[in-house]
Amino acid sequence: MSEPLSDLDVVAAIYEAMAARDFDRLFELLDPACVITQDAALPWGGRHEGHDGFATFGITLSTTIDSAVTIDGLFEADGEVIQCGRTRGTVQATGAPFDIPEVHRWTISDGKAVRGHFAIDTPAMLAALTAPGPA
Amino acid sequence: MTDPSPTDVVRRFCASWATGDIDAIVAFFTDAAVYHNIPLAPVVGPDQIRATIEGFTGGVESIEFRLESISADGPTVLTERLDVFHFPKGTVELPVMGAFEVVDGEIAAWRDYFDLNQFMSQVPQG
Repeated sequence: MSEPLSDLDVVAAIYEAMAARDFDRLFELLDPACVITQDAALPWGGRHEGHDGFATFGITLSTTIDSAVTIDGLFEADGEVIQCGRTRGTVQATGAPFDIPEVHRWTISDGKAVRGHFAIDTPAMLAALTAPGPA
Repeated sequence: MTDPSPTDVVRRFCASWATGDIDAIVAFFTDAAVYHNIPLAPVVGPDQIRATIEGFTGGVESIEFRLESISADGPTVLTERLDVFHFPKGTVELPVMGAFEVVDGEIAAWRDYFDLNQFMSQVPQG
């Protein structure tokens, strides 16, 4: 029988699954009642509840931007797991590039994520979304 | 004048996606219509349906609903489709089974069934 994942391992596995766009794995790691929140000013922002809410979040994000997260730090604090790094990529519609700092805060319970809040530099992302693409 | 048949309504609805006119697409629905894109959260009413459609079409240049087969049982219309999403950097081809309930010439319910990973694995990246 395998050892249960630590909270840090759960979050690391979530980022691996997000990079692979593997929703089957993501749904193993996210509690069915998981709540994901992000600034509602972003097209994929707002409050997303449950696996179907996370699917809505993922599809809206991925069809709007092509992005990859680079993790600079992953640590536990105040009973949560904090990930800080950068999100880099391009806007799907225009090809406009972005390279933006981000901080994600996760709450893990019994080996599954029950809460995630994603904070990025919203003005920088909104500027990228409205910028013309490369000539 | 009689209402168009449920099958005709759904044929016209599927064809409307190629126009890219979200107003025209949303106009097919009743005020209390339920749209459930099955892996996603269900939404109710034209405003939420519009927001959902805008959510997954923001980066898309155009969309085609290629109707492979269609059949009806009274007000319920079943479709087998290949939905094609054209992005600037690539194309997603997604097999979809969709069920529609048509009331008085408008769509009162739309349920689509597809493989989420099949869609996500084709969205352009890199």
